[in-house]
Amino acid sequence: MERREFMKLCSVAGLGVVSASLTDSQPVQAQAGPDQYLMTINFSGGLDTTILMDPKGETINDDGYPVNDPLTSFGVDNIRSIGSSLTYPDIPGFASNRTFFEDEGLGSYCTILRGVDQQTNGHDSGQRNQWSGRLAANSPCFAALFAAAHGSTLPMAFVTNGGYDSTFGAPVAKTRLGNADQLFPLIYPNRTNPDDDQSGLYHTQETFKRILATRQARLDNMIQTQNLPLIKRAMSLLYTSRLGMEELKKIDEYIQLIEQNDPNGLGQGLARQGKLLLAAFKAGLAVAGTVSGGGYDTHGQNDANAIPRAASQMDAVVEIFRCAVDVLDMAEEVLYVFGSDFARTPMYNGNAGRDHWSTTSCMIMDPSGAVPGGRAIGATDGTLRPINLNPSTMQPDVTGVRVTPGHWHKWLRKHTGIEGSETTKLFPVEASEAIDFTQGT
Amino acid sequence: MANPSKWKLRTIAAGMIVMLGGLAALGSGCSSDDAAVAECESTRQYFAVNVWQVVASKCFACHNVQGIAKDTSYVLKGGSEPGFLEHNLKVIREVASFEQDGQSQWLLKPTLSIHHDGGAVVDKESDEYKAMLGLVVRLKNDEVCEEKQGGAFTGVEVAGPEVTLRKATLILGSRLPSAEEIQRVKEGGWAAVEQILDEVMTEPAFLDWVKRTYGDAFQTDLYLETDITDFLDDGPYANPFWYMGAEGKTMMDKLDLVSEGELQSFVQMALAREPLELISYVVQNDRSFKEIINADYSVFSQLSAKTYGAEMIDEFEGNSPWEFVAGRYPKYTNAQGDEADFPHAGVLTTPAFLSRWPTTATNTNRARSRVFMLFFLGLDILKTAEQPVDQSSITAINPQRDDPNCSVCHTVVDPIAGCFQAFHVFEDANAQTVIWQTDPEWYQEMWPPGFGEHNLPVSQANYGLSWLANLAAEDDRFALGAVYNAYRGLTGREALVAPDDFDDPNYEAMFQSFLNQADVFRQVADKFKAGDHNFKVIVKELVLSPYFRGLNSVKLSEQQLVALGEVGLGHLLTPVQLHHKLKSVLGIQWGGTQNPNLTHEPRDVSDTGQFQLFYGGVDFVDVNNRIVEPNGIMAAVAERMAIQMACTAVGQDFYRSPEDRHLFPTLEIDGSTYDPKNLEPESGGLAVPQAEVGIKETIVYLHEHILGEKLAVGDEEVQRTYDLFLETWREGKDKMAVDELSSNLPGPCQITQDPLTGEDLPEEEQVADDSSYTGRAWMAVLTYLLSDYQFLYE
Repeated sequence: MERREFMKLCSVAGLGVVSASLTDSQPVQAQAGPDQYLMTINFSGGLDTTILMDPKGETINDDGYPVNDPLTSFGVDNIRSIGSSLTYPDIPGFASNRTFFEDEGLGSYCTILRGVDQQTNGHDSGQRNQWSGRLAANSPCFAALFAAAHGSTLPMAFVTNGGYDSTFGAPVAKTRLGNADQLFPLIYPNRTNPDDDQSGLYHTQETFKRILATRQARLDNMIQTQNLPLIKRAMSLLYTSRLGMEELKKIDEYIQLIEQNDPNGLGQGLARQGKLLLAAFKAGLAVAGTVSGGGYDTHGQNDANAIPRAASQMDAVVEIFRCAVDVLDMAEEVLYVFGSDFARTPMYNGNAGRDHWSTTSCMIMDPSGAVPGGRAIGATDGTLRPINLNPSTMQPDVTGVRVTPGHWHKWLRKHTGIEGSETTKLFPVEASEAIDFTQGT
Repeated sequence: MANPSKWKLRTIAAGMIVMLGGLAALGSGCSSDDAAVAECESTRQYFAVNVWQVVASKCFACHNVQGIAKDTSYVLKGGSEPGFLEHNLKVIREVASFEQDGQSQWLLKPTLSIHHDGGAVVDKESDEYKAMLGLVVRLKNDEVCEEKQGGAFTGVEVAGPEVTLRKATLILGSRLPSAEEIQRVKEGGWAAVEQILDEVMTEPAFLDWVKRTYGDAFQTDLYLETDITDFLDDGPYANPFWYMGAEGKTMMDKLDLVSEGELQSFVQMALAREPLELISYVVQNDRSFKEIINADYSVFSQLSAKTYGAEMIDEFEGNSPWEFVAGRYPKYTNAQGDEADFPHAGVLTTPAFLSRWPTTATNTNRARSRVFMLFFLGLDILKTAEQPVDQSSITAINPQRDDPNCSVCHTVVDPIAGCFQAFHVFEDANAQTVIWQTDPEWYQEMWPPGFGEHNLPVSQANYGLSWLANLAAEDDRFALGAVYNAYRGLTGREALVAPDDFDDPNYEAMFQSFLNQADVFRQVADKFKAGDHNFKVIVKELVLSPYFRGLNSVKLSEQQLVALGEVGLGHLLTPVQLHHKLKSVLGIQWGGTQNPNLTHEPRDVSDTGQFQLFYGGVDFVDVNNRIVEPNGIMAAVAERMAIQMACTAVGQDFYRSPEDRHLFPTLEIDGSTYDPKNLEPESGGLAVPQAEVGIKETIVYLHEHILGEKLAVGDEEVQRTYDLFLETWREGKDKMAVDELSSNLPGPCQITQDPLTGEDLPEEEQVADDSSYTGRAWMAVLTYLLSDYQFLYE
């Protein structure tokens, strides 16, 4: 791969200058790659956080009704504790939470952050704040910033499966992986039969290389003589996207490994999204990606709809994690971050649903242990109102800080080593206090 | 009629450079001397550049629709609202006209020279005050400077008539311009371009573009796959399932359909596509575009006409399931037992639209209200709500009305939601319906139904949508909304919103970028209104603007890089556009007829092609948003496409008789005729000059035909392509000589069957032999060109 040549060209072509307002203002620098890959797991629509991260049971809310109806969800007796402070609801009839947090032991890797003031209850702005730490429009998501900082020269640094996935201003493009079976013609474009490694070729290897070199030389020339930023950026992205196409072959190796060794193969739905993403990580093609499940905008029949969906989603996360550990030997190499648009009201509406609620929870799972697990930081009161956090003691404190997604992302950026990236610096989060969420029990 | 010369152009080579005016000019005031006259700016431009930031930072916090000063006559609109500059200037013009002791109250209040509830917010010695004073002086005097046009695009090289025509016909007409059209443009310049654009906009492919443009917004093509027929079951409609009986058999014969499945899919298509076909009908017949929301009719195929039991206005001309004509839904019977005409309101009352954007018991039409503003008024209300909201502090019993955190949006959203009340089942857990509720009820706790300053009369409650549509269609934002949609369809980009971070070091340049675009869009909207609201006016004006025609520029400063950040067409073709371009340029599609790779015509989004989603496309089932910038997978799709299409196209073109070829027409050199497939560049190790000339002329032709790039034979790009051909040919010859390579084309590239009939060809007619190796050398050239930036982008 001509990555070194690309770096050289970036300097020659002034790629950094091209997109001064859009991307980093400095020419692309060689990147060391991340210590961990990043997988963000989204509950699209506004998750009822009481059924996963902030259980209340029949705690009575301001209206005199239980936050969670024991008949349709769970009671206080079903709330279980693990680690130093993590609690979760073991919902009758649904084993998924217990499987995730206890049976598979993943709770010991998890830190839940409660009482996050999302500052909005609109879907678009909620998703944006949750995943970028910024309410303002034109904010790239954390995964895009992560990919820009750790893998912008990779052919598919940032893989999206939906959710908030804006790449605004980040010099990375979105990639969908979709149906793995259809990847072969793309991995082996010059084969007349992509599925057959003995297949004939359309062009000889020598000719194929000649075509690519000629095309690259022409595009180099076009980039260097183009001055309109929009067109120059388009050409530059085409250039970047072609880098490492040869390396797409590697993903095939890991897809086959998963299909042969994972008891569920690539699986379906959310599990499939996550496993393809793992394959892309393992192949060295991607460093960050989103996994997203929907159906959480439960204005009607909240418990009947949200609980089985969340159960299914958490089962899928377990399947993804087991694949990372058992098949790909990536146990500690992936960092998982969970979140949603916002949460749901502490009371049911007339349709047994819950409406939008701006105080939410989010979660990080770090199997490497760099972020201690088994903890819940921050708190909400009995009616899901946020309780401020003392950044020194990491305990609830009415005189402390009202935690927002900005605080969360400020720490996430620091923890993952992207806070100093030129792209990251273009999009400061809206939080003045720095809170170290590795601290506290 | 549009006038592309308004951009003050000077012709150069293939493009033109915008010469007059400058970005800096917008910051200056009027003057009588010649040099300054060139920099003279209108009052609106002065306000936008010098005063908007002042009032946005000093006044807007209180003087907005929900601010403390909401009940004064000085209420401003935020920067996310379309047309906010014009609105705010109008408001300021009014309030600034009130004077005390000869001075404008608009200056006296913020400086606390007279009472101001907000106290002193502007220092008399500040630049802000001077800017405001400058505006007051201008408002008191007659406008002396006309709105500048084009000056903001100084240094931008824009496409000339021929290049513009090619880009426009490819995007709007899904085809290349014909030789006759190119000749007309050579002779007639821009006037000819405009005439040809008018002609292109009568073609079915243009109407498909219109439908795709609005289809991306509406997402109603979801119902190409998901049946909505049973939603009609509760209405007065004849028999939604008529096609399952004897009538279905009759219709199959009439429309020449082969199966019940095909019949049902056409019924489904007619219902799903109703909103888009209505827009298409309005555009096709040059009707006022306002009818897309206020038409007192809808459109039907022969199949959906039966489903609805429609009362037809127009007659069907043929027997095609694709033909749509105007008609009305049948009469309803109201609670009093009287018959009532259905209150059509363009696309708004179509079941597909009402299903795709449903109401719920708690949402109560608010989602419909949001998309109404987004699709038709260019207003993204969610941007209004981007200030922090502290929901936990809300104590009001009815926060949507009584808490500013909520009412800032709900005061706008709720009234429009109320206008949809006749398509909502009141106080029902399953509130969603597409059936007209002839005697609707509505929620008293919400802001009352209405639009802007108007309240929906109680007597009109069941006609709320047509009432709303008639008002909204007259709103200035309706025209801007149409411009925004057309712009997205042409460029794949959204209209800019004014930046609101005044501390951003790039604020001024970003605002200039916004203002440049807002100015152009406003002019386009004005022409649209003056042109009887004909949508084609918008399309033509945008095509002729620098946003479509920008090719390159002189070296730009850091500020200009931002300010001109949206200029130019760097639009990665969508899968459907690439599909059509391939067909137009090569005469063939990628993938088989039954299994195309990029899209299935004519429905385009349904039964998506194998690579449609990989290439950033949408299916409206799982994927609703396009990817508009390439990634590694998309680059690989383009690679595979280029290789396979080069393979197929070379064989098929060589199979065609020379006069029918798309790529390799015969050549006249020194009075002799040559077929490019027979031109070998060397013989016995020595160059063959005539062959080299012929190959290079063919390369010149291919660059123009495939890339739209006019080159001289001596151009370095021609030499680059020739070198690729030559080296590939040499490699092949050498390897064939030692039996490393076959003398035949690769199997998939051989033509052994008639491409049209599929019948086996006699051996002498087959295209398989490539012992000259020119076939594979041309394949290399075509692969190179078909994967070029100029081919993949427009």
